[in-house]
Amino acid sequence: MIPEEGPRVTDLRIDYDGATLLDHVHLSVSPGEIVALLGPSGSGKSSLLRCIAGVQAPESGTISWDGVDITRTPAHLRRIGLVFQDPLLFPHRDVEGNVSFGLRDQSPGQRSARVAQLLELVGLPGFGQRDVATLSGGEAQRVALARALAPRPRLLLLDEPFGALDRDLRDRLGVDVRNLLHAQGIPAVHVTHDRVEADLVADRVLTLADLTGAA
Amino acid sequence: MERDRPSLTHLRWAAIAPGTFVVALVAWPVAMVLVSGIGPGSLEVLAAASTWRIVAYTTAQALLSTALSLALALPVAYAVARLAIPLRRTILAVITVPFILPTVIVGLAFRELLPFPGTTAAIVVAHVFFNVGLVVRVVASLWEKVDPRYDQVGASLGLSPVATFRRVTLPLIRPAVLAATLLAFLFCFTSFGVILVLGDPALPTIEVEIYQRAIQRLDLSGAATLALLQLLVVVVAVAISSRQQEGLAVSQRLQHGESRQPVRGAVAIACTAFTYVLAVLVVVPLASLVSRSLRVGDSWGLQWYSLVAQPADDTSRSVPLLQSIELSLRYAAVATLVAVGLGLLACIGIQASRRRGVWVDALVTLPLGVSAVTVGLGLLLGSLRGPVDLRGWWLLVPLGQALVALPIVVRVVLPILRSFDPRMRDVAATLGASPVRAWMATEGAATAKAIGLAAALACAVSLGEFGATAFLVRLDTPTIPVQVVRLLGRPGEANIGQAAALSVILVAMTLIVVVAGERLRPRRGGGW
Repeated sequence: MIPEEGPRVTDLRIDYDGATLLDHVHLSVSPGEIVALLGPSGSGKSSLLRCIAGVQAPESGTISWDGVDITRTPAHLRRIGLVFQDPLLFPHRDVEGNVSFGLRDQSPGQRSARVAQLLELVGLPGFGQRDVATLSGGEAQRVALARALAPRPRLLLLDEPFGALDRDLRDRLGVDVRNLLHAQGIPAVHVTHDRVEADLVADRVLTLADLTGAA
Repeated sequence: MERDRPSLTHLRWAAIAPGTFVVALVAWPVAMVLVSGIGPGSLEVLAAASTWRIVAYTTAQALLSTALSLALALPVAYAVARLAIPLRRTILAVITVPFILPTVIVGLAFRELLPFPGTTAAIVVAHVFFNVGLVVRVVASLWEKVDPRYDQVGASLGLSPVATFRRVTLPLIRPAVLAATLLAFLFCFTSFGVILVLGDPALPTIEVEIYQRAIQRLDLSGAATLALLQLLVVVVAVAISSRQQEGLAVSQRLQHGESRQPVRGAVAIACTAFTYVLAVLVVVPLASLVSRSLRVGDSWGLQWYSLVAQPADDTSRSVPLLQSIELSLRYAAVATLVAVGLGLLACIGIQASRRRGVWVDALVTLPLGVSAVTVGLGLLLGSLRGPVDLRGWWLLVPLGQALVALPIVVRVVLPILRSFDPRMRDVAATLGASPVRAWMATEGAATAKAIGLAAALACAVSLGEFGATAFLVRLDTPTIPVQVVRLLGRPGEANIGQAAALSVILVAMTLIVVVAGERLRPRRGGGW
């Protein structure tokens, strides 16, 4: 048997309002791989991501990393990044304050260097002092991406991150995100209901049926 | 999509402490009132024609005051919400001032100002003074978010401006109008300090009658019966209002930005002019109070203020006035700490327990509906008949004040907490923040300013609180409002002069506290 590497979801069950939403879910992601997960809204894709990130608890099943069970590990100790459809930037912090949020154990010098580097990467150099309320939808989502990447997560989860943006911007950002993740070697699970976007971003495209059917 | 947040479920326990506090200090006293109210004496009270005259009079003056407040407030709300009038924020601040002023002090100000003190008209004027600002604030906060293009649609369909207001605008702002009406009615119906100082002694309201029976005639069961009747009317008023609210739950998309039009046209000009006149009128009673405190005989001077600093003499007063100031500050400090601490816990608990949080919410809002006099009477009865005799215990006073201030703390902090997307905390967690740091960095940081504002309002309310305090305070430890009422009960110019000087000092203290808190008012969200 090949030793497990990276994240693996085994036989997961997720309930919503007393009813079973997903059952017998299996998923693994190879190092550096971007997996797109396709499915209609309300089908439980977001719940799956929330369980992997640790902000929601599954009813049963395990989530492991390199073979170590992390199902009960609190979210803040998992080093798994999560980007929502809404940017959810902290309104009381400026762009720099948002991006540096996960960089607590670094010196101020290191922190601002990392923030500058990430803002450069997402195409927003010099935006550090901007009030987040003044950002456009696309800019805000780029800042959210920079914020999630800053602490160097070992896995990035993207929950319809471009859902609120128009087609043109969506395609452009899709390519950017793909290049960014590959350059940093960060594996990702990208949830979307848009086939074109999935093909654009991901190395492997799965549907929910792929996760639950062939175990 | 906000379930199963295992790290947060324990926050639900945060609701326990404030819940217990309210149960112990409101529900229990109210139960005491209930138990005491039902006795052989209560039938006598209920059978007396005078009782029903008092209930009818209380209701009538409250309805009249509420109707007048609404009539005067609507044009102002329109100007403030819809028109780009100069000094808009200042005007809004000025007309809100009365609401935070101590009732006893406003009573005194109007007693000195009006040519007809001791009449129903005087009471109504003072009540309108208190409530116009509140109604304007509540109504305007919804009105400014209603898309102005609805009015334009009305006009384009051939409706006159009056018809547009009646058939388009009013239905859209009606939830706020109803909420403001209920608040104003409850305020006027349970009003105590104003009526005690300004009313006709031959025409008591329920509150005044409760006070006189309990404190002067020592007829506790009669007082409790009346408190029960009063509670009944309050419950009926709240029930009618929520029935009405349900019927008109219109879902509309509110705009975030506010767009105000230039002042053009006869209606807009008239409303704007009226707004300025009202803002000036609000200052008049305060000015008259200051002038009264400086008038010594036929000339002007600081004599009354210097008397405040002097030790007590046996002829005019038994407690040094300076001591009242110190006492008021000490009680208010304790009450603020208790109200803010418990209010914050309640908010966290309400937020964490979601659907069940409604009950905690209703529980901590209870003191808003139950009158301060009922709270005071209940606490007094409780302290007499509880397992331990707590009568005259100093802590009862700040606890009663904290109870009156608690709903305000929750009303200020909760909307800010609610406007915060709970997923922010998830974001913080995935960025490596522990649950405590995640809360501090998100909701904690966002509510810090709201907590400051809530503390200031709680402090202002406690400083001026009279209804509950009057029942709980010991004879030798009067707070400023209690001392003012005592001074007014004695004849002679010196007593009125000192009451006025003391009132000005209290108003100054209140304003300083609230202005400091207002500086912290969050830029976004928050109705109050």
